[in-house]
Amino acid sequence: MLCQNCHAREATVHFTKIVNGQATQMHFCSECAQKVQGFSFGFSLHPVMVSDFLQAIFGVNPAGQAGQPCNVLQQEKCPGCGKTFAQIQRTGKMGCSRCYEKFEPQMELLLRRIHGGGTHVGKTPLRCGAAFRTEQEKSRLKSKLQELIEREEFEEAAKVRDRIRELEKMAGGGEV
Amino acid sequence: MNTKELLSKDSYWMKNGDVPIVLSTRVRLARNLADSTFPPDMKETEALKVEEKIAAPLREFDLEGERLTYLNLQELSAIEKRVLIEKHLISPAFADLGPGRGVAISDSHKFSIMVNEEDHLRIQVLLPGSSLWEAQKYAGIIDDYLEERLDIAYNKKFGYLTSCPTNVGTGLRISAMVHLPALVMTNQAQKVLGALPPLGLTVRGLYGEGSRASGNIFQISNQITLGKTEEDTIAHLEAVIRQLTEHELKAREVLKSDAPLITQDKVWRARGILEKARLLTAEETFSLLSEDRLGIDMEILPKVKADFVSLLINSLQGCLQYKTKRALDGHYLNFERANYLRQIYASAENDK
Ligand SMILES: [Zn+2]
Ligand SMILES: [Zn+2]
Repeated sequence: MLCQNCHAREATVHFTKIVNGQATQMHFCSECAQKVQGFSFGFSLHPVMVSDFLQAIFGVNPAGQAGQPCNVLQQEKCPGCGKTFAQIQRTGKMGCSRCYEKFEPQMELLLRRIHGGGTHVGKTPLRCGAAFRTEQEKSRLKSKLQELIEREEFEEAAKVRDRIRELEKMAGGGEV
Repeated sequence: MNTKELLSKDSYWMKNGDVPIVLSTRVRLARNLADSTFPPDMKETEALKVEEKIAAPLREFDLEGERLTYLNLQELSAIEKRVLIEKHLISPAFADLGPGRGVAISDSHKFSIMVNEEDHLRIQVLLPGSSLWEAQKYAGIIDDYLEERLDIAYNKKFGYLTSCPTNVGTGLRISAMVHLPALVMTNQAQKVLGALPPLGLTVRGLYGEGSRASGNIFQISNQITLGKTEEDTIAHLEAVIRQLTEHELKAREVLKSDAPLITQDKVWRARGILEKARLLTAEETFSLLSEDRLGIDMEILPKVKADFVSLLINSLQGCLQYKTKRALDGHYLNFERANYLRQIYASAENDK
């Protein structure tokens, strides 16, 4: 999104302004935000929507970094919605859920930049089944174990390790 | 519940009572159907089909006696949409979208579910005060209910799949609305809030204009949704909110010990204007209500009968117009706003 004032730089400051009781979204680059009359938050805002940050990242062209010829990749289409990765880059929005599978390598790189992590560790739908939930719990505990060892909290680490062994035993017994 | 009844009432989250500083909390889950195009690229026929598919189970939903009313966006007037925006039940961007959109709102406004906003489903829970865990619990119940009835897009690697990659993973956005007048007055807001973005948190000045965020109200939310569990996300924000609260309380102590007269004068002036003014702009109102609330919190001013957040929201144009049933602008709007506040504050005067 471009700055509403100079229409040249990326907007990084976003806020809701009230004019006659009506809320209006305002978007400025940090330079203009300082200049625009009547606006200064009293603190330097990066309060920034991630989506803009995201477009900046998309602009970096993760496809190119993956070392693959851009033009071939750019032409491949998602089987679900028909979008190309170039189109996703332009809008910052995925076309459908299958875009994530189709462009997995590019997405992985991108998501790591946005979130720091590349793999989901939160809630799992019930329909994914008990085995998968156990698997996920195990990988969560393993990274926790690593953390605890680094912090030298060995007592807590031992408990976590026991729990992992328990899960492994359960999974081993359950499988045919 | 009919539309009028539903829109006229104060939302449950606006009734924050005596709780200072953390005014309200919000939990939002982004979810999508596995086999449909995401809303921004949807054709109208598909939008209508998806809307019907989702609206059906929403109409049947019942949680602790609280039921949902489904409002089709096309059937709402501009002013009704504005009321919904002001009460945080729909997003401003949602109001402008085409056919195949709607929102299910629970009786007390605790739950609102937008259909075909940026994602097929935006499940939102809004509660007064600091209630992140409770809000998360409710959001989870609604999520489970819908998951049993709809095929939700999920991928083992990336979690819940969303239209915008910034939401993928948990699809969880949690936020707290905090009132920090003393930090602003003592010029510490910059330092304190400036420390949050590097922690993966977003700070937005709500209702800001002029030299400071008028109303001194800020919304703090998480940015990261991938690689972090729901529990960690909530615990993290909760810890930050606790610290912000401590900073604000400390700043209030400083006002009390170092500038008691200036503080008393400031909050009494705010009270005086709210009791007597004939014309009030929204911006001035937000500053006055913020100072008045600080005065109440610090036990300088007597309490008023209305909740702080309710006063803020009901002073906005949409709510004022909806109540007076008239299109208002300029002086008339400022006149109606002052009337509304004078009624509340004059009765506070009588109660003493
Ligand atoms: Zn600019
Ligand atoms: Zn797709």
